[in-house]
Amino acid sequence: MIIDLLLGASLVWLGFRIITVGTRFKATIYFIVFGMMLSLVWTRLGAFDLALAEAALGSGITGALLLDCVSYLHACRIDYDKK
Amino acid sequence: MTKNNLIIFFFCAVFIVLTLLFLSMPSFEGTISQQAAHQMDALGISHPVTAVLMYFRSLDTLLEVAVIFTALCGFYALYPRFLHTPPQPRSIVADHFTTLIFPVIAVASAVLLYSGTFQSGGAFQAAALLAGGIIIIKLTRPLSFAKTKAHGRKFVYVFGLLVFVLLGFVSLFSGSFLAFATGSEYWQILTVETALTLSLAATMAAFFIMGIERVKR
Repeated sequence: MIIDLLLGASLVWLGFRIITVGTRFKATIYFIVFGMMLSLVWTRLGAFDLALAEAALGSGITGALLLDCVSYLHACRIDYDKK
Repeated sequence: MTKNNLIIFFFCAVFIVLTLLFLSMPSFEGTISQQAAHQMDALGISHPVTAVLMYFRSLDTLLEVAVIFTALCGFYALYPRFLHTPPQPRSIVADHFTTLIFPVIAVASAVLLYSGTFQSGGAFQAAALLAGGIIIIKLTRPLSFAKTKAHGRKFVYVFGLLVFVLLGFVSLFSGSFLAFATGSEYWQILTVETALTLSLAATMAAFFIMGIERVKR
């Protein structure tokens, strides 16, 4: 019960942090952690299928794509500053 | 009260309301879903999620796969033509790591696919795992898959959808579209799931790989 409450509270807190943290990189890291916590919550609710899909797709592939996007935007910014 | 405090207060209120709602949820004993779960033992696929995906709402699953395929078509339409794959120096550690890890991933994916018939698992989860394996190969060896024919790759993308629709038409003989005949439904569904796993894994990996390959700037 306490674990469930902690998991739920951390989800809300992480969701709040994603939109308020400021930099893209940090927001992406928070998003990945959010996906992992969400998959833990699905596991606690007994929905193992959703937990697997969330961990692999929502957190893994989407997180990696977002990280790549952040690095791409960073490279664009450097190019722009050079010009 | 500042704006930030107001937001925190709002989130806390939402959290408490959701917790109370969750605690007051009725149990499923004696409801119609319980009865459906009891009847499930007679079917070839005993896991409720796979049964819902494949027996009750198989048309939804088919269209879900079609949606993913349509997204891939959009990706192809926006895909830059002049690709530049940077020839990175191959790291020995990453190379050996890939050689070690990919067979494990492939076997784990097959286990997930098979376990979808009686416990959590199934085509989508197995495909996600396999896609992760393909992405690891592509990241450690940038030139792999470069020599595969474009037609072959496109065939892999549509393969799952094709098998699904074909089996749907086969089941027309015994009833209606996608109404799998009793008796052979286990093997039909395992065939569909295997084809879907291959296709979806290729599609998801393609999303990632096309995303990270870009025009030479």
